Amino acid sequence: MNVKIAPLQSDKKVCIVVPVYNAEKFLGHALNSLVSQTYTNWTAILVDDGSTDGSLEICRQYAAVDSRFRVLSKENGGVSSARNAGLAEAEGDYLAFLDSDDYLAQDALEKMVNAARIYNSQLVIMDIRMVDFTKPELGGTLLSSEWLKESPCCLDADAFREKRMRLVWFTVLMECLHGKLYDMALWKEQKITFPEELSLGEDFVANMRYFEATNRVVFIHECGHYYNCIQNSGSLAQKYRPDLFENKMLLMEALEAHLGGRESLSKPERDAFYCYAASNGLSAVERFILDSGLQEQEMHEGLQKKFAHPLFAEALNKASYIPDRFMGCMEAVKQQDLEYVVQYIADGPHEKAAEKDCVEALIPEEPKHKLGLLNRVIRKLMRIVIPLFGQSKMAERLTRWEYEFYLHGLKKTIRSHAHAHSLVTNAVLEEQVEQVENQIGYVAGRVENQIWHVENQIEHIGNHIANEIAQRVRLENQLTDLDNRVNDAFRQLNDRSYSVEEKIRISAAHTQEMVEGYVWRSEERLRKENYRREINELRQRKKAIMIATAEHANIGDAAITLAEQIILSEQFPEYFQVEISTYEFEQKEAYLHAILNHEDILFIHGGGNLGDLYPVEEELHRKIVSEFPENKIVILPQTISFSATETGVRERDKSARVYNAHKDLTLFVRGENSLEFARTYFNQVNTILMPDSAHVLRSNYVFERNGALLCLRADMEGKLGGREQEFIASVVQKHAACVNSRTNVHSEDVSREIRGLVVRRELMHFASHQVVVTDRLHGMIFAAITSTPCVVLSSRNHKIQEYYEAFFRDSNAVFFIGDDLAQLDDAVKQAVSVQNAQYSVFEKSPHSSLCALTTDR
Amino acid sequence: MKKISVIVPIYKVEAYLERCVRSICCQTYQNLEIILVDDGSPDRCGAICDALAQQDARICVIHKKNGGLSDARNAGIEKASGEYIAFLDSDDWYDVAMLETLYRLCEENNAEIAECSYRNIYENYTVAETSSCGAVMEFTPAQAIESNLDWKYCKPVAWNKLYRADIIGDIRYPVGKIHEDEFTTHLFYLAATKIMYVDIALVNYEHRNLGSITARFKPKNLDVCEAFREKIHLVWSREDLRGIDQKMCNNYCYLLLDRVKKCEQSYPECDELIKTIQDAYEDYEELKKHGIDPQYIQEFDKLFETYHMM
Repeated sequence: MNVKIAPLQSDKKVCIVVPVYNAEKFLGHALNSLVSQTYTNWTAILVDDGSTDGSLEICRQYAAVDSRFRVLSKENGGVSSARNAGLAEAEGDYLAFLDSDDYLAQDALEKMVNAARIYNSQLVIMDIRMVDFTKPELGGTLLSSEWLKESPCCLDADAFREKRMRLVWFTVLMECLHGKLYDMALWKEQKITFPEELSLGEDFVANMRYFEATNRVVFIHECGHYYNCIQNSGSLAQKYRPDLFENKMLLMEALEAHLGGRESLSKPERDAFYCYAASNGLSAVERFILDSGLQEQEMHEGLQKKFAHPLFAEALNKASYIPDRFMGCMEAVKQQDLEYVVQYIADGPHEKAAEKDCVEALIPEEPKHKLGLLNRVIRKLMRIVIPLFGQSKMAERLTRWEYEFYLHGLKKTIRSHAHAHSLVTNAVLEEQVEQVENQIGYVAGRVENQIWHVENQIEHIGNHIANEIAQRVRLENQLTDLDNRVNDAFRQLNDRSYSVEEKIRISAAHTQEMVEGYVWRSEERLRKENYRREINELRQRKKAIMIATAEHANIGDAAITLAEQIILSEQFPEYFQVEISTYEFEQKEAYLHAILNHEDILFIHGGGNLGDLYPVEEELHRKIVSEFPENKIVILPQTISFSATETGVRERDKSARVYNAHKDLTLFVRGENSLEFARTYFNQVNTILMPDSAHVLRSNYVFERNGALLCLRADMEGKLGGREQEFIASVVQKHAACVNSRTNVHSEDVSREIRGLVVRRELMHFASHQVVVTDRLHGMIFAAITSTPCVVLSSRNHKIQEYYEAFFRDSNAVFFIGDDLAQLDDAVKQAVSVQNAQYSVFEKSPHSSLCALTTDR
Repeated sequence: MKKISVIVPIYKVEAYLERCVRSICCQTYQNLEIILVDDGSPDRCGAICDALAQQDARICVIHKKNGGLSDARNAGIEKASGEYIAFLDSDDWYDVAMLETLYRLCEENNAEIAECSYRNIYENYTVAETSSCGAVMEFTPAQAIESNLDWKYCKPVAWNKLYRADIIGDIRYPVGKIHEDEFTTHLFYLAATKIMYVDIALVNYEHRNLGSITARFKPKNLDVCEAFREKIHLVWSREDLRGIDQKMCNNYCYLLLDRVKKCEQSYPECDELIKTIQDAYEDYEELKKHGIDPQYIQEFDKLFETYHMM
């Protein structure tokens, strides 16, 4: 972002001369516009020219607030004398002028000083906007130097001289002092003052003298000055002066002298001069006709004199352009038909009035018999209609002034003809003249004819316009009506929007409820249908149904479940596997009954949960065994543990009753104690010794081994307190680079979806350590199946010891030390040194016989 | 050279902000503290403020949660450390001589508040608010309040004034209200002993959103009635304002009847309208005692009857 924090300031002082005469209405704005200049290094000389209103007071008030104002007061002597008085006091580097009812753009001085410095120019000219200050919203007309295309445009003295007249004619910026920055030194050097005897163009005269001397001129196409063109303001410039025309012609002569005589000018410059002189003269003539108030006779005499002015006459004759509003009477001027000229100009190019007349004439009720009125109306109509049909060459070509122009052209041809052939005999000449006159007559006849034709057309168009106008009035009425209705509607809309929004909200809520209900019902139907289909399908198949599988956080149980799935798919490949976890059992009981057929085998999840330690699980075992007497039931490798308490005995007997009652129940146990127990109490049950299912997860791991892993219980089966655990850690530390710790319990429930992932990650963890110290059964088993040497401590029940005795006793990598922590140091040391872990239990694949054992009976 | 704190509340003025801040930075009076209060503006204003602060050490920026114009000005007052305070809205801008002129008026005349005229900036043209005749005038607090009522010279707006900081005291802008200046301008006047006014336009007041939906009448516009009500109660309670009570009451009546009519057109029977009319009814007897125009009495009677209060 590039923000210019401060506007240009410099040590170059601008002096602004402000002549003040009876301008209290707008003077404040003029002076205020100086105070507000972004360029602050200026002084203003306010020259009160004997005002009779409050103007002087305002000047003094500004001077009191802002010391950059100086006030001069003098007797009334006209604007030039006021400016001269100001000039006499002016000091500084630059000079500018402001009139008391105009004002400057806020950054005008900044832009002009900047341009003067950059281009080292003695004259800067900005655009001027003419605004009626009482109606600023109308915008006004911009007088611009855009004819020069570039902005800013810098012309050096020669380039400026070449274009001087065209600049005067095309930009309308060169006559006045407004929106310009002059070089004070040059001005003083040239001793330029304003000629007090001139009532017109004194500023132009001064400018011309300055133009002669300036080194270069910079034009900025931005508005720097606002000129107050308020109508009917009583200021001098607007009043009619009888010597207006003569003064203008004097000014034109002065201009010509300044340009060095019209003969020395280039063709375009000369043309611009003629156009400028013609249009200036014509506008003075126009003012004379409209404002002088003379009687016909005197007016005609006056006009005659004016048209006879040599410079004006030549300009009229040679100008390539005449302002549109005078075009129609040019032929009459040539013909000295002053009556027509007066009539034409008095009718005026006042488009508004013409329009009004048209409308009046076109109102159908009004009789159109007044031919004169109609003629005038048609003429004015054409002025309005022609731009409307601007593209139509026909209408354009046949306007009346074009006709007059045509005649004028022909006559000119004859004259030049006559001159060229002055030596030719009269007879030939007369013949030619006659011929041409015949031609003229012919053409005139045709043109008359066409004019009549066009007038007819125009009448048509007039009617058409009348219709259009009527239609437009109707439409406008309708529009107003519509506008009102739209306003009303908007108001109502505003009022009602709240209640409508409320309704929408309610109905949206309602709809949402309905949709949700519908969606729920469809989903429900779909669910039921799927359920029915699934049950029908499953009922037809032979199934291995795993019941009471683990979905809780214990990774050991998760590993058993995973292993059981593997075993079943290996050993019972023709059976379709269905899993119902302990969590789901209650919910899926009906489902189980529905899909079950008599071929299905129910496999109850193994582990260490047969006994009274986990009464819920045991109750579930009993429930399954008692509820499905017709099906083969297999309890996968378990450790049995009933406590010796009264409750333990009661529970044992209850289980024994149920298990013994089933006619096809096979129970695998993981140790000798359990085997003996089962054979004693569950004597009707086929009981077989079998290592834990997790053994099938044995695999060859190739991780780099590092440090020791402590896998110690924190649950109710563990018996090591915090102090013992700390001791264990300290001992192990002596032999291992690092000690990690795991509880073998996952941070959340291990659902069937993440079961494989969690178990494998845990095994990888074991496989990346040198030694494991554990009191967990599955800590030991995980160590073994990953071939990690392992020191085993006992836990609260006999499970781990029993298992060790049954399966790992002969291994060189499992060291059981029971409760004797004194052996720990030694055991860890040995374990670390084990090179080639060997386990006889893995040599045979114990689970391969499961199928045979199960179906044997 | 005493320090002047200029407080600029900023909300959604991306297009205008630079012009505003630049006009403060290039004041001919240079001893300034420029406080830009970014009132949680959702556009790029916050970033523009920070960038401007990088370029002029006198600028400090407060970024706060949106709380409205009043809240933002109050935050600026808390932060201000200058001996004089001025407020400028972020779509308006100063002429270069603004602060210098008002500062000199205060100092040379030992006045607590100085005030100037302003220009109304429309989309395509500019209208000066007064004839800018350059006159310097001196007002007592009561005269200044009267001048507000006449809409002549002193104006009930915050941004054409310079305040000596010690008179601000605990006067704050009412958070959550619009027409906040109507609630506060007279309080500032009353805290002063002398108010100087110069009839030169030195502030440019941008008229935005003409005819847009935000320019439509809303029930919130009835806040101005509340502000005037506070003013008439204050006038009734003070001996020194006895002289302007009738004018103040008539002004209140005119304003209230006008706003009620506008509100009835778009939001008939909204809570704010009923509250405003009830307030007027409470004051009605007292208003009559202070000689309000009989025409207003007639209209009030009609109004109260319509709303079943009489």
